[in-house]
Amino acid sequence: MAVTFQDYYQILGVERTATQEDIQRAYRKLARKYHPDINKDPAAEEKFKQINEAYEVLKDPESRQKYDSIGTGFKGGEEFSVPPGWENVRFYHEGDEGADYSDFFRSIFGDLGGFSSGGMPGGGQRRGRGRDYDSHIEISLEDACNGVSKVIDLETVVPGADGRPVRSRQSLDVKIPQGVTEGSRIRLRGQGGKGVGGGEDGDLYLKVHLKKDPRFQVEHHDLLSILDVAPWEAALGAKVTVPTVGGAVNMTLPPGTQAGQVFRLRGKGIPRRTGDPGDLLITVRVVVPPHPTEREKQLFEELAKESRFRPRG
Amino acid sequence: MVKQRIMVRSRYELTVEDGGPLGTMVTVSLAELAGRCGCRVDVLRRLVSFGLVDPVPGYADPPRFPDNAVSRVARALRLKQDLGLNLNALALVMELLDRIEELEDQLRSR
Repeated sequence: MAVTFQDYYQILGVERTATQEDIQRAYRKLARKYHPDINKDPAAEEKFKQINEAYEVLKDPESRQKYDSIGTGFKGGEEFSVPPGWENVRFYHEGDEGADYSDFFRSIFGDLGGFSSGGMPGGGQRRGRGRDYDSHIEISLEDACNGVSKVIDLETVVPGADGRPVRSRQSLDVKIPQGVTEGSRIRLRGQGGKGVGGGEDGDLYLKVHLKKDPRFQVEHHDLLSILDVAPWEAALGAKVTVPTVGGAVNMTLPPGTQAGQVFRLRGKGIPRRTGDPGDLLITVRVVVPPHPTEREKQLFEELAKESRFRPRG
Repeated sequence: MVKQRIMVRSRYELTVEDGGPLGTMVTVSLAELAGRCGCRVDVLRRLVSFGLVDPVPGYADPPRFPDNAVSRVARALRLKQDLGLNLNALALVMELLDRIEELEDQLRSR
């Protein structure tokens, strides 16, 4: 298999003449920036591994010197073969096993694998649980109420044949049960990063977002909506139809309904997976005709004259 | 669509976390949690004492933890190890990361 030369200096962004302190400083900065638990970019994980690999070699003056003597004349990404005379040379390092190094690294340092991590941590993944992946999924309110099956495309970054990171797509069939709502997290067990050294695989988390619906606001499992009514409907009561996720339903407004009054339609919100479904809370808004006809004005004026109602005491 | 479905993987255990009291909650013991995260029990006890992971209310002695604490502990351990953080710094980082996530959610739902 072709092995490409990894320019560890370039990866850490330092000159070949950099001091050990320069190298350590550059490493610490990059490790904070690209740590995959902090940086959500799918490429961060692979970048973080490269940074650690580079640092493992360059932090130790002895292994750095050996790397320098092998690496003179190569550029990052070039095909690399171990120079004559080096074939059987293996640098022995004690340390963890199963660390995730490039083929280039293994061609020089062998499969003994890890280095000791010494005082300063580093060295990529050790034995342990695989990383969890976070992603989002957007569904409609109807889907949240009824459940839905969705195919999602997931992009991850994995090491390619030559050790360089490549983007890989995979599709997952996700059956979303009814009763999820904005902010729910769906966990797909074992669909995250692979565990190392016998550790369990990580999980994939999908955070649910509900598509905006102009008719409803979502509050956990309750839905909020606004019902516009005419003044006479509010005063006299009326039979109105109101939208719910499952379709329009009839509602009776009692006489003397006030603006701002809230009617609760039990169970017309988003179902919960356990327990009672959420409710639909309908807030009444009284609206007047924006362009009243002469006759309408006349009737309002008559009402104004006749009525003894004083809203402000 | 048909072509895509051929590659689809659909065998996994799916759980939904609402964080609400009504959801059925799977809990794990301290030893179980340590085992699944690949850390020692005393390390985990320290994480608990720093409030990095909390037992389920009402299950303090012996403590039981929500199943999803596995992710949180594993994440905390990686950060601790990879960035050389002490527990105070780690607790701060986790709090800030939680806060960032909250704010990102708020931005999204606007």
